Amino acid sequence: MTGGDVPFCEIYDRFHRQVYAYCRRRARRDVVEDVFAETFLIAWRKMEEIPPGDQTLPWLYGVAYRVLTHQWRSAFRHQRLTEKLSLLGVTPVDLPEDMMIAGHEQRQLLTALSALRPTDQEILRLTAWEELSQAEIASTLGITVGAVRQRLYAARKKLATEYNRLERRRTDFPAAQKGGAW
Amino acid sequence: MITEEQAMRLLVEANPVPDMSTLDPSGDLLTTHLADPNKRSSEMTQLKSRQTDNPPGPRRRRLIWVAAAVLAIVVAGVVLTQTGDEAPVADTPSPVETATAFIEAYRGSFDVDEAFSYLGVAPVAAGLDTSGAADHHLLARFREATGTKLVDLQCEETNFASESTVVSCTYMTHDFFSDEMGLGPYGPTVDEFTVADGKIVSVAEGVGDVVDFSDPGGFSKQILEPFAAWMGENHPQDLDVMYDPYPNGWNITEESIPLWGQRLREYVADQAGPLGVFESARGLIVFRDGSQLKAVDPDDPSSVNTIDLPREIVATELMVAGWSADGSKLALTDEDRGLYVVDRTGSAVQVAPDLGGCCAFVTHAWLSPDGTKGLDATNNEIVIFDLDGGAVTQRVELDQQLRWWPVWAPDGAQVAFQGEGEALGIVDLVTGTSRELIGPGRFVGIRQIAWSPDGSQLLVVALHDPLPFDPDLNPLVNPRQGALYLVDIDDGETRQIAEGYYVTAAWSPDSTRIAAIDYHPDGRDLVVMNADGTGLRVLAEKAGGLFTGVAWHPVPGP
Repeated sequence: MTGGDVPFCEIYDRFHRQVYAYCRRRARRDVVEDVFAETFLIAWRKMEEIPPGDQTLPWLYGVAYRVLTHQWRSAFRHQRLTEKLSLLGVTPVDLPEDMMIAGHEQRQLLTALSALRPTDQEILRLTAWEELSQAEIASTLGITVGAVRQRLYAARKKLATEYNRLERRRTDFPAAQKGGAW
Repeated sequence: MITEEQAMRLLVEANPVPDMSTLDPSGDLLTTHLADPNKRSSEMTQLKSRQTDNPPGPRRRRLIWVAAAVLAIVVAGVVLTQTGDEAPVADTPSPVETATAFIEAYRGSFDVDEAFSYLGVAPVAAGLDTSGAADHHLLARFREATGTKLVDLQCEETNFASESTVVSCTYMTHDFFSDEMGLGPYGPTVDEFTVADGKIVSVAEGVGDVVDFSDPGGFSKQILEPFAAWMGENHPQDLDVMYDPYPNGWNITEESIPLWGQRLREYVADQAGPLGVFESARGLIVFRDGSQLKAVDPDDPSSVNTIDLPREIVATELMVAGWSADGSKLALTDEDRGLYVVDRTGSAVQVAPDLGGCCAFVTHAWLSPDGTKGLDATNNEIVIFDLDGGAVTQRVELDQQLRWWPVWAPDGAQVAFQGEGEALGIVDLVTGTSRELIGPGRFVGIRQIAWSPDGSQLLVVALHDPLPFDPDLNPLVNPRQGALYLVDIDDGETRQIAEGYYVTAAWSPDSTRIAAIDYHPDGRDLVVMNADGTGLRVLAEKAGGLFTGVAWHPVPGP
């Protein structure tokens, strides 16, 4: 049985909240709805490819991830859309509304996160925010479980290293905290 | 200083949306989205109807309760995490996973830095050999340039001790583009790794590897020796750079690596035939499907040949945009990366780095029929540039704004363009004069124009309904019904030949048939039809990847 045997509305009902949350965590609010809608549009068009059961949500996350990172662009809208997509960074440091409510440590952590390779960032986010298992992350990103384990192991180390590096820099150059020239 | 566990806990706390209960509880976001006329499309409307035709019933209410319960558990989990419980800790990779990751990086993706991150000691101390190259990075670049591909990698523990584990990895490789010549893979090669505390501390490369230079089915007899002989015959001036000594010693240097890649590409192309890597595309309809070009026989859709895209453009969104008249050069277009040409050796060259935005889903014929020039455009100017070096060779100023990119005529002496009001015009490049072929207002939403190879007609891919100024032509999210039209080059007489959700089309070399891609609401089809629109047949359905450009190879098959 594949997802194609389950009515689309049931898949939507069951997972739209998680997928919307996934999009909100990664995209600016003014484009979240576009990404969300395109994700389910693709899901609808690929109904017969949707895996059943526990694999459905990771599959939807995978679609949303690709929508976020491989936006198709139309011709006439190029300039406007490019500007729009430039706001679509997968790094959450680009989310000002969230930055404002987050504390210093969280902001610095997100900055450190943005220094990692995009796939490693996503592995960490899927672990911490979507709370996916390594097998589910592998399914989402289309890589092996072994690769996820290996990369998660290395990415956690690098995240801490990068955070500590930023912290040292902040301490060494206090003027940088104020945004002043030095 | 924070630990990995503390960093992960901070990441959990930095979740921008920790509580999903604040999100659109009615689940009507899609409906709201669709209410925006700028985002509405026929397909989305159908999607909406699928959603809203399923009003909340007992099952949905039950799901909401279940979702609420799950949410409560998630929130409780977050609270527990924030109150001091450890975030989930990743398992240390197994020795087999570590060794596998090393080989995949070192010999597969040629990412030496990633590979070395799996080492617990310096590369030299681990026993890694650079095989005569100055360093590992150089060796990796040589392997990449000479078409090394890792296949059938398998690792297993062969000896386990309390302090360390020995992992044996067996793999085959394609070398010198052997896969593209239908040869290889070669091997097996067996590498042994000693892994301690999650890190590789020792590498024994090529353990048990036996190279038989006399084996007629081996790498030496099949490629190494013939290539060296070909080099001696065709490029003797390069031998000193590439070999040390010729013919068995390889010189791996900054200077020699690109030359190795270039000469091997030429050798592979020569082995294939006059059209090189495009031999398998002769007379066929070519489109991109993921990392490959596919060439389908219009008369036998079950016959499909594949051509690997050059490595440098595999990860791009380039789509096919036409051939040179001799079939030796393939034009590709990407709105971000500009214009590329893949030649008969399979090498890709970028010829125009900045288009200023355009062309997604439109495969306008920007490559001149003789394969030496490209078409570019500004607001009111047609620009012709030399592919070799990019120098502008001609500018033709128009008395109106260009709406879309111009296309070459098959004689190379004329260009068709779209002007204001979607009028169609023809420019004579010899005289620099232009004439109107179709006046403003006849067409709405033109996606593409394509000149027939016999020079007598323009094929127009257009929509039925007017588009707003800021249309979303992305058919993936906004398929629109339209039609294919033929316009007579001499008198502008226009007739519709087919209806559908067409986004791009290409002529057969003899101008008797048309291939087109149809993004209808139920899927994506590559179709072929007679030039009068009759005899439509589907050649491929729902192909993956960039199923957005199509080009018919101009040289007939054998």
